[in-house]
Amino acid sequence: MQFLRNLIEKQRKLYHAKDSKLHKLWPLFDAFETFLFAPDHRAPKSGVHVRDYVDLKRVMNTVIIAMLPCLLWAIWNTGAQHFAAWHKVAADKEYVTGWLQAMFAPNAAAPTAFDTVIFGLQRMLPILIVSYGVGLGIEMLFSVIRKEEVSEGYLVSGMLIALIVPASIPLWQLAIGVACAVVLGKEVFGGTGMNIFNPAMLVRAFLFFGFAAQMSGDAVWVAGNQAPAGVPGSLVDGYSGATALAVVKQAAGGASEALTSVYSHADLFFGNIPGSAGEMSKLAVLLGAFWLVFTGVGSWRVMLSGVLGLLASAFLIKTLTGIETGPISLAPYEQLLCGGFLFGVVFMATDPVSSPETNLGKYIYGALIGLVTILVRTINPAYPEGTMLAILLLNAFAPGIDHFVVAANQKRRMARA
Amino acid sequence: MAAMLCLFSDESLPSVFLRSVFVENILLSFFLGMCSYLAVSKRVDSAIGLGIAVVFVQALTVPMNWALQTYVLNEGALGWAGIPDSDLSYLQFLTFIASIAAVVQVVEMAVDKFSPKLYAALGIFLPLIAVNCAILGGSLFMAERKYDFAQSVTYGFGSGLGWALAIVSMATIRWRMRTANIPGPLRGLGITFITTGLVAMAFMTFSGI
Repeated sequence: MQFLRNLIEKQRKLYHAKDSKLHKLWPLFDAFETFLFAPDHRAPKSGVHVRDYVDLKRVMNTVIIAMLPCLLWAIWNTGAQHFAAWHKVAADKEYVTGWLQAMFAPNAAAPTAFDTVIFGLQRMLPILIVSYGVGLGIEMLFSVIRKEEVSEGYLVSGMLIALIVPASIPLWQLAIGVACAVVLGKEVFGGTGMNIFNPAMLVRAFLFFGFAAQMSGDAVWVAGNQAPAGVPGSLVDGYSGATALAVVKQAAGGASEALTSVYSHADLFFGNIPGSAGEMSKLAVLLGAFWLVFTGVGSWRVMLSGVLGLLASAFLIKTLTGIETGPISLAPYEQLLCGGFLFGVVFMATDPVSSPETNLGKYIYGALIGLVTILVRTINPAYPEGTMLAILLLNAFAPGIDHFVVAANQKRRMARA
Repeated sequence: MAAMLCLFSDESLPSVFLRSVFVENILLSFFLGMCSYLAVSKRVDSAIGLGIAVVFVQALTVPMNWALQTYVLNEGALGWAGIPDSDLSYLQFLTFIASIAAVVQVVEMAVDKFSPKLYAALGIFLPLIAVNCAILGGSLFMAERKYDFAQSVTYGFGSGLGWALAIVSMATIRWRMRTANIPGPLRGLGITFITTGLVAMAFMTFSGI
């Protein structure tokens, strides 16, 4: 460690002084230094300041740790789903390996656990690299131009993005989505901490409206390898199955029976289903949620009221309308098991920047996310899933919720005085 | 599914309402009433006041213009007065504008009488509702889509509410952005337009109903 420290100190003078050659790149230097070493900006022992090592970068790292179970499961399951699909539709064809498989696992036709992980990495690594590369590149560019410190907010966004796009997404689409969302959703508002909308959610929304065919949410593409010319049918790209929520949406009879005939409850909970990385395993999301609440980084108020709001609205709309068929008839707890709601409410809705700051506001915000999600899932025939749009809509209303909570508070205290 | 379809078909009142508030939000998807939206969303209090005024005026004028359209302007609408072959639809714009101006005048006098504070806050914008394109737009959409009376009431209230929601959420967002370090050239209207675009995207939640 001392070696690294010395190296950094040697470089510092190149960047730090106003007239030094590389002073323009000081934000980049600063970003890398604070990434490696916690900056010592504790306040003096005397006086009333309280400050510790937990700065924005450590908070962001805490969230990334919370997302690791999801990411690891996604790497495994992307591979598992791929081989399952391949055996189902193309087992008699010649298997074509991808770039990473060609290097490490050339005999992927009879997949072992190792092959499964290699395929998952082959899909998830490029997505992560593009997401971080494009996003952080833009962040650094803006920091250098605006002469500000590179801020750490994107570390979490980049990982979130990788977890909410389908594993089969073309990388150029992802790059366009990330660039649009980071510039239009974040940098123009003044960067980290100032954005109105969750940048990761915006990426998905841009892709959703811009490339609707790949992102609609009712069919899910199991990732495959590119077909070389002249070897038709050798891949399972294009093999698609209905997502759990699409099954529910199209159910002619009771939705619960339709759902359990395709995906069992255990599969939905443990994540043995195709889908975007984050929505696969509810168990992994719960592990992350416990970590976030335990460390105090994520707001338990938003998570709790979101889940309760979803269950209550699902129960109310089911009981009040009394409809026995279609998406309304799904049992409330099954609404929780299907789709990305749990992931959204744990990792996206708790974003401290785009959610309300008041405690009461957080309860209202979470509950409304649950309500809007259920409304979209049950009465909107166009979209099977509503979590993303519900969170975006509530992001737009979050400052309003805060405003009215604070105004009511002021009124109450004025009346008491 | 069949039951769903009849509950939320194109013509049903819940569907007209949700569509007018969110999907076909008169401000965010038709860009009507943009000028007062941009000017008044600077302050939350005035935005709420103007929002309420627009809901009120819209909920009054759309059904009123529906009555005018059905019983006076449409082809053969004057049958009840003994003139079965009349067609006054070329007077639509004129009639609608006049009736809107009259309603706004009455609302203005009422606000002045009952809430001078609100009157002072809204200032020039209350009379300007008379020429707010969202109001005329609402009435014209009602005529074009041939809504019946119940639908007109729902649509008038819903589209006004949609406009009010949009301006209040924008005003609170702008209040939050007052401390943000927004790049110089984008301060003011620039960032407001960008935010409006993003909010409009969020309002597409219910598109498809």
